[in-house]
Amino acid sequence: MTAQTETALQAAAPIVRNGITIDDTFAEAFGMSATGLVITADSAKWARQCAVTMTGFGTSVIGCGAECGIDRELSPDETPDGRPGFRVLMFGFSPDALTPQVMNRVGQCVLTSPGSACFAGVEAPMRIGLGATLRRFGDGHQTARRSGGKRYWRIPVMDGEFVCEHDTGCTTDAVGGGNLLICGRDRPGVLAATELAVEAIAKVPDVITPFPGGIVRSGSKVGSKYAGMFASSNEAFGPTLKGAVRSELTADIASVLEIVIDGLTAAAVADGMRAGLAAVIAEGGRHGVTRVSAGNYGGKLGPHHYHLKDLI
Amino acid sequence: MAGILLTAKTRVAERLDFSGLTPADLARGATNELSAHVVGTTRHALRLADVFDVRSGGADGDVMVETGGALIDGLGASMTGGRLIITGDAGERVGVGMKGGRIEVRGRAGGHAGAGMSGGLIHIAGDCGDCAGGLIAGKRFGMTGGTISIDGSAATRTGEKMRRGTILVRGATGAMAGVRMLGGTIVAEGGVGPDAGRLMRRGTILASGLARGAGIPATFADCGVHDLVILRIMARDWTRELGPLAPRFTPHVVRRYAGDLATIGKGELLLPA
Repeated sequence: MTAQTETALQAAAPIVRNGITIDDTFAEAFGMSATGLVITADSAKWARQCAVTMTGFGTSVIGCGAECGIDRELSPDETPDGRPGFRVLMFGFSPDALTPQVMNRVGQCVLTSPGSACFAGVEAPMRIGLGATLRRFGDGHQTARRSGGKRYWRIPVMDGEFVCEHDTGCTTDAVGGGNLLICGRDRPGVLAATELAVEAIAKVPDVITPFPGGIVRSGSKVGSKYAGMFASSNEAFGPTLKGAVRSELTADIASVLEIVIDGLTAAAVADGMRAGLAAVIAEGGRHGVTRVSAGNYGGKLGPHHYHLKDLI
Repeated sequence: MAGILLTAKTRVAERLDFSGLTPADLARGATNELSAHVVGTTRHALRLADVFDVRSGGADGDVMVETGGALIDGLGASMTGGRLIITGDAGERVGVGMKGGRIEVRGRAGGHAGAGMSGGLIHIAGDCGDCAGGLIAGKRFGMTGGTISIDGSAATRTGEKMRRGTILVRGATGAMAGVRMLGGTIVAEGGVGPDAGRLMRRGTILASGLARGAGIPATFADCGVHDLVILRIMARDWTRELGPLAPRFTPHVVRRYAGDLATIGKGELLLPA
């Protein structure tokens, strides 16, 4: 055995933590544009309702135009108007792609929500219009107001005024597509462990997990046998196919769930993946989790590679 | 390094005009050029050195003027930065055309304080004359930015034709506060006098009430009682930016009068609900 083969064998040796195998692989992520909003209302209940609504149908840029999620809840001390609020983040291919998403989502889901107000949630030199566009809903009755160095629009609505900051920041340093694949013996156990990971990631600032409840069950691969399909089921991670196709799964795995993580910076995505991985390692064993992996395209498409072994 | 202290040598009968001396000029200290600067307003052509001792004193970067009862106009005119402290009363046009920095008047101020200013802060510990933050003759707008904080009361035409910025009056304003206002905010914690907001196009006048004999102008429309989110935002910003100078009267539930409907009517007079 040469020194080179020995090194290769050592590198290939599985990493096992708390009985869970951590694959020696990496998540491949992409540069994205991102913006953020702070949404407030008279109560936390309605601020949450508004944030949930405006981030709905925002799971993947492939079909939704933007990937959206709640970053965190804000106390009244943290919001511009002293009311309960939530910070939401939105990720897209480019600032130009995000602009109509911001306008449509704020216009249809925030402007319409009782008692709401909307403020910038990211500070950056590049700006995306909020009230700059939505003010026209006021049909000439809107008024502008400067306060604290910022410009706000007061747009008359049926329960008073919708107050909306003129614009919000947009960063092109964001990263989308950090991910973890959590594999285990049964569906309820894997779901419980993945939920714990999502909860841990939710505590990390500047990241979102845009899929339903933060979890994806339909891992995809690029392309399809059918014309016009950009993505299709990744059969290599489909447990019901593992005997019939070239599978990535071992015999003991009956369920796989994925968490996709978008962040305002590459470091935030790493922090999110680290928190999720730690939660699975700590609690996954008792829920039947046997393995954690990550999705990539061979490292040829995305510039950001998050190696799981570096995040343990 | 200390600041600059100007102390009146003697009480002069004539008004003095400092409008040609910015605090930056004064901060350079007792140069020959500065000493020879004419500040008198009569044929006697009094020079600065005739009336004031100029020496080092106070905190670094500060310019302190001890007026000694002199009537000095134009203090801090066109100021762009630093701090000017006036011990005693300031005359007319303190901080007129100011662009930045801070002026503290530890006494009363005459008319046109901060007129046409576009930035910075003027704090007046006493009462203030007419047209605070208002219009300078020949100009198109009154103040276009910055903050004037008046601990006492303000006389007439406060914020005349102001376009942006904030005027905070602990006491009451006289007649015609915010007349022909184009934007910005006037807060009158002691209430406003007659004809507040006459011909205002935009902007906000927030007052604790109306002075005796004053009424809501007929061309203002009662829009009812509202909880205005924008007032919450402004109150928090004032507290953060102004600290102890921030208004204490910051309700967010108010009765809103829209006006002046004799113009475009996009301004508002806000009174307690």
